[in-house]
Amino acid sequence: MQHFQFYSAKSLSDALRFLSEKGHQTRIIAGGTDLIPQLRQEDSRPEFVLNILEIEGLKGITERNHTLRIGSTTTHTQLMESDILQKLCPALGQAAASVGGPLIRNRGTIGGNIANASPAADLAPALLTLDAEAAIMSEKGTRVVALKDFFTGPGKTALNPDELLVEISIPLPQGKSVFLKLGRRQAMTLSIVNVAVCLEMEGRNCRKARIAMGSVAPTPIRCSRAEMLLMDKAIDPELISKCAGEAMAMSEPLDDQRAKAWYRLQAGVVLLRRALMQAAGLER
Amino acid sequence: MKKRGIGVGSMFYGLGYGFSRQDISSATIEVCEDGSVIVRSGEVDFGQGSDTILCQITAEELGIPYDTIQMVTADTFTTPNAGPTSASRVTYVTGMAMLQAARAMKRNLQSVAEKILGQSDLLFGNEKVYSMSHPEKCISFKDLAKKAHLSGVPMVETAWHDITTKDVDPETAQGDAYAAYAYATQLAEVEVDTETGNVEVLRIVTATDAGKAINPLNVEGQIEGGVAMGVGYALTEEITLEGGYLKTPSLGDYMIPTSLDVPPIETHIVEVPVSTGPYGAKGVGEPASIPTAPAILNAIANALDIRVTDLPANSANLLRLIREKEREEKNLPPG
Repeated sequence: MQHFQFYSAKSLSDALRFLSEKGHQTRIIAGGTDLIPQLRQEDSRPEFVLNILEIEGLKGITERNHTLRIGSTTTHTQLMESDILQKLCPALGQAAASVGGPLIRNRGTIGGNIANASPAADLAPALLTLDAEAAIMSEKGTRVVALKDFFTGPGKTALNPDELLVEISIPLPQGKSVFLKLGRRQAMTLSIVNVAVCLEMEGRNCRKARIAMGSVAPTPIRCSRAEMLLMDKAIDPELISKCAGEAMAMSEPLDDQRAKAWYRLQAGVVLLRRALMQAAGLER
Repeated sequence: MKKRGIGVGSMFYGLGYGFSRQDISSATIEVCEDGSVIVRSGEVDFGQGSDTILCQITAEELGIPYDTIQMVTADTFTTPNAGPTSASRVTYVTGMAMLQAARAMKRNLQSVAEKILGQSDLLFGNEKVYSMSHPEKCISFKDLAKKAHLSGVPMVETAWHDITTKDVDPETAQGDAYAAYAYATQLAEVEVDTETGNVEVLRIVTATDAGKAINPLNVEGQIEGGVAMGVGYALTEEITLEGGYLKTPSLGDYMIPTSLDVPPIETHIVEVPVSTGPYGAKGVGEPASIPTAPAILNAIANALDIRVTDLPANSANLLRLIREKEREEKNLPPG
C-alpha cells in the first residue's frame, strides 16, 4: 500500500472545496471495495484519499416529482433491501444482490460502482435500462449527465477531477425489468457477462424496450438497435432470439482471465434471451 | 435446457508414506502431582482437529476429563518429533504413539494403585481408579497421581511408533506398499445448463471408512471440507500462466467455492477397524476430497453423455464440449 493523506469531508461543500484545490492528486473513497485493492497496486499513487462517507444526505433512496433519487453512498445492501426498488425496478435490486458477498454489499456503494467504471459493474446495465442520470457537483455548480454518456472507457468516466458524483436519478420506472448475471461461481465473483432488460408491454405487444449489457465491451452498453426490433411488435420467442442476437452484435467482448470472447458472445445471447422472455412474461 | 445426472466416485488411498519411506511419530505424556496431565507431540494441528483427537485418546485411557489435559504441540524446543501433518497420517500414526504412551503411563499408575487398594482388577474411569469386583475399593485419580509421585514410578512416558513398510518388489511392483488403506465412495447429483455450460452441484452423498471415528463430528467436518475442495477442483479452480507469469495470484482470481457453491452434503461414516490404528482409526483427511471430482464428472457424463478429461469443468470448457458434440451429431466439421 502506498502512503497517502486521508481526509474525511465533513460536508458536501467541504468535499467540493477539497476537490477544487487537490482534485488532480485525489482519489475519492466511499466503501473502498474497489479503491483499496487499487491502492495496493504499484501504479496507483494518489497523494490524497478523500472520504465522503461522513457527508450527510448522500445516502438513501427517495421518490420526488416522479423521480427516484439514490444518493451516491447508498450501499448495495440498502438497494437490495429497498421496498420501493423492489416494487418499481426489481432489476436494480437483483443487480445489487449479485454484487460480491454480504461483506462487500454492506460496504460498496452505488456511486462507487458507477464511478469505478468497470465494464463488468453489475449495477450499470440495470441503471442503463432505467434511463438513469448522474448528478455531478463541483464548486462551479451542478450538472446532470445521462448514464449512457457517463462511461467513457474502462475505468474512465465523464467526471472531472474537481467533481463529485452525488446522486443517481431515475425517472419513475414503467414496465417489467429483469437482471441476470453469469459469473464463475455463485458469489464473490465478477461477471463474465451481465444483462438487464426492461419491457413495457400492452398485452402481447411491446410498447417500449430497453436492453443493456456489461462485461462485453469497454463500457457497459445500451443496445438501441436491438431495442428497436421489439418496439410496437407482438413479442414471441423467435423475435426475442433475433433481438438477443442483434444486441450481441453491438458487443466487442475480449478474452480475459474470467472468460474468452467466444464464450461471452454465446452466454450473452442466452442470458439476454432468458431476461427478455421473463420480462415479456413468456417464461418464469 | 437443464439436464440432471448422478455420478459415483470411489477411491482407496494408502495412509502414511508407504514404499519403505520412513514414517515415525512420537508423543509424550506427563502426569503432574495435582493430577493434571500434559501431552507433548510435534504434530501440527492446522485446523483438522488432531490436538482434539490426541486429547481424547489420553482422556479415554486414563479415565479423566478431556479439559484436565494440556496439549503442547508443534514446538521443536519441547515436543518430540511426530513427522509432518500429511498423508492423512496424524490420527493414524501419532494417535497410535499417543495411545501407547498413555497406556505405559496407565501401567505405572496401576502398579501404585494395586499396592494401595490391594486389588489387581482395576479400571480407570470417572476420575477414579477402582476395582471391578469391589467397586467400593477406589482412589481418586488426583490422589493416585500424588501418591505415584512419592512412590518413584516414572511420571513421564514417551512412545515412538513406526509404520515404515517394506518396499514393493522392484521387478514386479507387487507387495503391500502401505500399512493401511482408506476407502471412500461419493455420489454427486448435478444440474447442467446446456446453453451456458454452467454446472450446479445439487447434493453430495459420502460414505467414508474412518476405521473408528474417534470424534464423529470432527470426521464429518473433515469430509465436508474435503467435498468443498473437491467441488472446486472439479468445477472452478485453475492456475493459469502467461509467459511464465502467474495470472491467478489471489483468491480473487483463483476461484475456490463459496458457501453458495457447496451443496448439501450427506455423510455416512463407515467403521471397519484397522488393527494398526488407535481403536482401529484411519485417516480421513485426503480420502474426503479424492472421490468428489470423479463423482461430479461422472454425473456430468450421466447428464450429457459427455466425458470431461480436462479440469476444471467450468462453464466455458463444458460449453465447448457440448457444442463439439452437437457438431459431431450433425456431422459438421469441428469449428
